[in-house]
Amino acid sequence: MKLYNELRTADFISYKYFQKNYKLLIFLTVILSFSFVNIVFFTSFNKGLEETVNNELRTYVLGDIIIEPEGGDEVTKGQGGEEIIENADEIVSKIRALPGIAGVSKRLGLRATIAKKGKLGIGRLIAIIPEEDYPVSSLEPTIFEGSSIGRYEKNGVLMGVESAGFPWSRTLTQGTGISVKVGDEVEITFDSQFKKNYTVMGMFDTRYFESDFFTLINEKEIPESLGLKNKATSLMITVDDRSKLQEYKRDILNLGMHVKVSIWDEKAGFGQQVAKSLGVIQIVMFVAGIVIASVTIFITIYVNILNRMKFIGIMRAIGISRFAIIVSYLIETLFYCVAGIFVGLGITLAIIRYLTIQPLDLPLGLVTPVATTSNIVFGSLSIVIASLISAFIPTYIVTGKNIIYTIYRGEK
Amino acid sequence: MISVSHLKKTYRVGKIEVDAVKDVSFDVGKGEFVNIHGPSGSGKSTILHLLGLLDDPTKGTITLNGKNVSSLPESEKSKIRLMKMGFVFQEYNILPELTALENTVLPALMTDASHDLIYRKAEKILRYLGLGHRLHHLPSELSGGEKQRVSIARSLINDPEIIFADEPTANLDSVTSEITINLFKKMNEELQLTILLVSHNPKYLVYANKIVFVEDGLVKNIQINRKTDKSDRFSLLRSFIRNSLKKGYSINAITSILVKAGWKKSIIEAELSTGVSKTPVG
Repeated sequence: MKLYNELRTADFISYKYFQKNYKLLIFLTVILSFSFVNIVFFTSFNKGLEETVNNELRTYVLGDIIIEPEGGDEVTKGQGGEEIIENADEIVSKIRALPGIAGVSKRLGLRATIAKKGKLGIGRLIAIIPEEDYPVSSLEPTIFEGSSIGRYEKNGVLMGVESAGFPWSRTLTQGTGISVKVGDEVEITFDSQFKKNYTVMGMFDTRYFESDFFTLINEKEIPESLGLKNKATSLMITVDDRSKLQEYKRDILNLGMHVKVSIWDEKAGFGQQVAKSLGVIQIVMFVAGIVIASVTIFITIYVNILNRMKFIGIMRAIGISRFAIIVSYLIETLFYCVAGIFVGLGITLAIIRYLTIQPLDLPLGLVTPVATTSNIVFGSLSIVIASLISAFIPTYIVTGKNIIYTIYRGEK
Repeated sequence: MISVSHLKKTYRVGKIEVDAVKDVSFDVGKGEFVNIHGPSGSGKSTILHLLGLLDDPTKGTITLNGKNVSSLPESEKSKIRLMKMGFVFQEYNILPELTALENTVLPALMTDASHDLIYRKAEKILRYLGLGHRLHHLPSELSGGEKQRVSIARSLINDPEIIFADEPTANLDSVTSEITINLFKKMNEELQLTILLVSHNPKYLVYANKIVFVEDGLVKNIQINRKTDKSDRFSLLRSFIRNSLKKGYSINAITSILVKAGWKKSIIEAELSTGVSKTPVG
C-alpha cells in the first residue's frame, strides 16, 4: 500500500469531515487562538519591555559606550567613597579624537542631599556640562516644563520627575519626599558639609525611573572647595555607527588608559534582569497556553473519536489502514491549528497595533509589545506540536482497538 | 477459496468466558452463494467476522486461496480486506458526512487507481444498483434500501473476490429486503462473486448454493444445493406479488421494484397476470 494512497485517503476523510463540522472548527479556532495570543502576546510584551528598558538605559544613562573607573593611576577614591576617574578632561579629549565618535559626556555623580524647606528629597545629583551632555544623553527633549540648564545659567538645577517628587513622580505619593515646581528653590548639601541654594530651572520626564531620579547641575556650579575639578564617575559616549561598537571599544582600549570600557548591552543588566524576572511569568503563561491548547484538543478529539468510533471501525473493516485514519485526524487537527493561529495572529497584531499607538504607560517607560518572527514561529510551532500530540494519543488508542469492538462498542 | 478449520472464538465477559464459536469447519468455493443460517445468538455473525478477518479466532485456521490468513498481522489483514473482500452490514454503516458517490469511492482511494477512474467506476456501480439519481445525496437523504445499496456499491468498488453480508435485510421492509437479496443473487450470477450471507430468515435459503446451519456455536448441518431451486424462487416471486397487491401497490410499482431486484420484465408481467387473476384486490 503506497504512502501516497494512504495520504490521499486521509486527506479525503479529514476534508469531508472538516467541511461538515464547521461548529467544531469555530470552537477549536477560538480556543487555539486564545492560546496563541496567550503565548505570543506575553512573549512580545516581555520583549517590548526589555527593549524599552534597554533603549532608555542606553539613551539616558549609559550611552553607546560607557567608561567607568577601574583600579589604576587615573582612578582614586572620591569623597563619597565611590571610584572616580582622574584626568577626565584629557581622557575625553583623547576619545573625541578617535574616528566615529559622535559625542562624549563627562558625568560626575555627587554625594549630596537635596532638600526643600528642610524636607529631604530623593534623587541623585549628577554634574554635567550641559552643551556636551544633551547631544549624548538626549535628555533635553524630555524637558516638559521650564528650560534646560545652559552654559550661562547660575545656581540652576534641572530635575527629573522622580527627583521633583509629587505630583510629577510615578512612584512617590503625596507627603513623601519633596514636592517642587519650576522656579522653586532647593537646598543642596554637598558631602554633608557645604550647603548652597539652587533654583529649579526645568523638569524632565524620560519615563525611565532611573534617569528620572537624576537632578542635573552644571559642572561649573560645584563648589571648588570640593576639589572635584577634572574628575568624573563615568563617560557616556555615542558613536556614528552602532554596528561597529566592538571596533570603537577596541580603539578606546588601544588608547591604553586604565579605565573600564563597556558597550551598553554589557551593562544593560537591569533590562535583562527585568526580562529574566518576567521570563518566569512568561514560562508560566506559555505552559498555561500550551496546556489549555493540548487539553482542549485532546478532549475534543477524544470525544469526537468516541462519537465516531463506529465509523472508525467501519473504515478499518473496509480496509482503510490505521495509519490513514490517524493521519486523517492529524490533518484535521492541523486545519484547526492553522485557523487558530491565523485568528490568534490577527488578534495579537491588532493588540500590538493598538499598543503602538497607545503604548502601555509603566513606571519603566512606555512599552509597546514587540512581536518578532521567531516568537510567532515558536508560538505557532508549540501549539501545532502540542495539538498534534494531543490528537495523536486518542486516535492511536482507539484505532488500536478490536475492529468488532469499535463497530459494536463493547457489545462483545 | 475459503477453508475454515476447527475455528473457535471465546469472549471474556468479566471473569466469565463465553464460547461464541466452538469448533467450526467448512469450505466456501469460488462463486458460491453461501447462507450461514441460524437463530439469534447462534454465532453466525461471529463466524462471518472471523472469516472476514475482522476478528481474531481463539483457535483454528482460516485459509484464503490456500494461504493461512488467520495469523497474519493486522496490516496484512487490512490489505486483504481492502483488495479481496467486500462488507455489507446490517446497519448500512456508511459514513454520514459522505455522499453516496463519496462513500463508494472511499476504499478505492487506498488503491493505485486514478481519481478519475475511481469516480467513473463508482458511478457505474451505483447506476448498476439503481442509484444513478442519488449519486450526490447524503445518507440522511436516502431511504434504508438506498443506504444498503450504497453499502453494497462500496463493497464492490475494489472488485473483491468475496462479499460478506451480515444480516443485510434486518433493518429493511419486506419489499426492500427482497430487492436487496435479489441484488446479491444477481451479483453472484452475473459477476461470479462469492457471497457469504448471514441471515436468520429462512425465506432466503433458496438463493444459496450452500447453507451452513449454525446453532449454539457449532455447525449443525451443511446443505448443498447443486442448482438453486428456481421453482422456489418463482414461488417467492408469486408470494411477493400477492402480498404487494394486498398492500395496495400498483402493478407499475411492483414491476419497477422487481426489475430493480433483477427479474426480467416478461416474467414479472406473466406472473402479474396470473397473480391479478388469482388474487382478489381490496
